[in-house]
Amino acid sequence: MRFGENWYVHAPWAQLVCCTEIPEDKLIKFMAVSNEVLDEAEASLATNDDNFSDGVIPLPWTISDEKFVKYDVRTYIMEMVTVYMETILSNGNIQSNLDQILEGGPHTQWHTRLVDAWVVSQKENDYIPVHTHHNQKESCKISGILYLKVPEQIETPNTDMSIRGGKDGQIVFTGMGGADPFSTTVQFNVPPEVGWLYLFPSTLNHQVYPFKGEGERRGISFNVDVISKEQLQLFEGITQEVPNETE
Amino acid sequence: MKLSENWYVDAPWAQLLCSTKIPDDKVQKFIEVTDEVLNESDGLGTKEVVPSSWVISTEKFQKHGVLDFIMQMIDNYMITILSNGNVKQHMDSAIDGGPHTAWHSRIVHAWVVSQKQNDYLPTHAHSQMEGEHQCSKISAVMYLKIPPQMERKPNEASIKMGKDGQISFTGMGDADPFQTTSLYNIIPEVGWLYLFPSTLNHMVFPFVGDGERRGIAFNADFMSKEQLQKMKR
Repeated sequence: MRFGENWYVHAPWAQLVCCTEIPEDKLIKFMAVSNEVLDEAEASLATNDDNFSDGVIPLPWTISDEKFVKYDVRTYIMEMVTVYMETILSNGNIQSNLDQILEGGPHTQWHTRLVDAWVVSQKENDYIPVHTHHNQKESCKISGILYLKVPEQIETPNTDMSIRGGKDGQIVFTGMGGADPFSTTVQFNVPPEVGWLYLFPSTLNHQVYPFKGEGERRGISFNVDVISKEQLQLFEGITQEVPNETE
Repeated sequence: MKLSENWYVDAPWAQLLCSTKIPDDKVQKFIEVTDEVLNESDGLGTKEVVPSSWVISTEKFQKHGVLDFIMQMIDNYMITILSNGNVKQHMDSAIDGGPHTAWHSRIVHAWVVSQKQNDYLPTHAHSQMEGEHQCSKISAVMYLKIPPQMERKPNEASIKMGKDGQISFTGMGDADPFQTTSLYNIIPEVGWLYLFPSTLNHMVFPFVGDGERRGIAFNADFMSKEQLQKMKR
């Protein structure tokens, strides 16, 4: 990974967290997407208890691909996923490793697909337990989270109100590591800031701490799968009939 | 860590490997340093990871006008790791005396690495050296001479096709089967400097044929201004 004139940084053993600030006009559109999803969920009288009955993804708050297209933000998401993919491919020998371990290599082009997306809406005392996204129903390789609303007391921690000073409402990524006691750490706490998008491997553990007081901590999460042009070609022309269970 | 405009990459759990191309005039001076050290020694080297007869004194780097370059690159490495996620905050809380506002660095050891046919360097980390070696936090290697058969495509003379003479770093990892790997092999190229944490395991594969694979390796230690002040008290 090139980090400036004549300075390269590599850590192919590491799960990379990338972040970028979302342009203002796109942020307004993401907000509109989340408003519409939450309004529709309320109209369907879904109760909060049902939200997580199927795991980490709150079912009534899932966002369809069409909704992103309707609000003209789907292309932006896919562009950012492409930049993430370019970043990991420039990390040490990741490109050559993928060429070797994934059938059909060398892989010259990567196709991406939005697998799931959902609104994350948290109020006082709510938290998200430690989880990864890769063990969910559909295969995915890259996950993302973007922040749309953050209560004031999370942005500027108020010690009178805090449950755990300075950490309330933060997302914590826990990566494999700590191999070097001086230059590495195993926990990466990120205070949410409106308008920031984070992309990370779907295998990376993370959780969100609760907070006290008024306000909503709102964001959008999504999972993306990646497959190379060459892998797709391997599948072309291969069809196998599913055996009839009654036979 | 800022990778480009509005794009940041962080992996504070990772041991970072940084690299930079050494300016040609400096490469020449580093070669002079190694020539001098090898001429002064008995020419035999040792079987230790730090060959005692090929040790380079800080004065020798100073004499050949390359000490400032090394210290500058050590500083660049420190700046990089301090910008990696929450590593700076972690140091402020994990290392006594924080918050740490300035870092002092010093070269702990430096030595010539000279390999001929069939020689190899077994897996090691510089933080775990035997004997009376002092502690270090970062390590580095630079390449000064490479046998031509390593640069060419592997041929029948190769021991293991394509891997001869390469340095292989083995980082903790492989946590993600798609986008991580625990092995990173690098083909040595004259004039490149690599900096990494002293805890990062690495080894060098052998090669066959004529020529010398020569470089300089060194270890550096860091201490914050605040840690130093505490000690002075």
